[in-house]
Amino acid sequence: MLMQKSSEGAELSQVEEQFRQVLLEAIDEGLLVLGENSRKALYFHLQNMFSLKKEDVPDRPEAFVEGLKKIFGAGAKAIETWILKSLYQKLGAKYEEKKNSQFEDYLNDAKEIIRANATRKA
Amino acid sequence: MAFWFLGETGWAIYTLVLGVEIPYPSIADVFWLSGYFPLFLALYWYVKTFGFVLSRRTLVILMTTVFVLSVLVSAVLITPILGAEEDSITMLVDFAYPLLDLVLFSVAVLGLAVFLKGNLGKSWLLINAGILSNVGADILFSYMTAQETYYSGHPLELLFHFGYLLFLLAFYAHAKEL
Repeated sequence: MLMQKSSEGAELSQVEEQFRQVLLEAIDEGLLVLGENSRKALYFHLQNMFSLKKEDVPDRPEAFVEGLKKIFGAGAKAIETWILKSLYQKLGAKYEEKKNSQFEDYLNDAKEIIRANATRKA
Repeated sequence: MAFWFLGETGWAIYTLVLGVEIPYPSIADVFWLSGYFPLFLALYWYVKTFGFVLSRRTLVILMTTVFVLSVLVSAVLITPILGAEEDSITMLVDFAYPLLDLVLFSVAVLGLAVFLKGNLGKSWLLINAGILSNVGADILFSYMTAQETYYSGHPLELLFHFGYLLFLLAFYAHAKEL
């Protein structure tokens, strides 16, 4: 029983770790649409205005979205879309826009995909 | 902007160096008119990247507004320009400036709609103000040229200068954000 719980915990942290890694890569790729310099400037502003480092985005996605909205207004939605497309592509899934779904909802779905993939492999 | 700088330089050479009456259209007009294309492409590519977030309704409203403005500008200019005894190239240039300004405005206003609620909105507000300042200046310029009441140093040129200042502020505001 104890061993089963410990194995579930390990699987969970593996999923979390993979999610973090893939999301950070997707953010980097998604923001590259703006150009390298603008991407750097955006990370700088997020850190300055929201004390949000790139590495913290998987833990504080709502702050990330808030920061994007503060800078880009409605254009933030476009950046979210590029990031999510890149994220889903990395997971071998297709990004489809859903009505009333927020950035965080898509991230939760992505976690589910990683979990399902991990279970299938196991 | 480099083309517009060359246009201004050409104009300054006619006025300050050669000291002659500036022909219209002149080489300065070639540079000014050429400058619209790269500026349009730059704005278009920028807006196209983000434009898909705009709703169909917003697009229809904004494009209708620009269309109505274009019709109004043409209506204001058509009688004085066609009434003036100008050759066809001069008439074409008279119409080209304000209409090309409106083409720029049609894209810039979409950018404003996308970024209005964000910090980048300031920059797009200034770009739109700069373009509208040019629209006003070019309408007056075309009208007065047709009426033969325009002279070098006319107060309407202030609107062109305001336009440049607004563009400068817009680029500064944008560079500050990204």
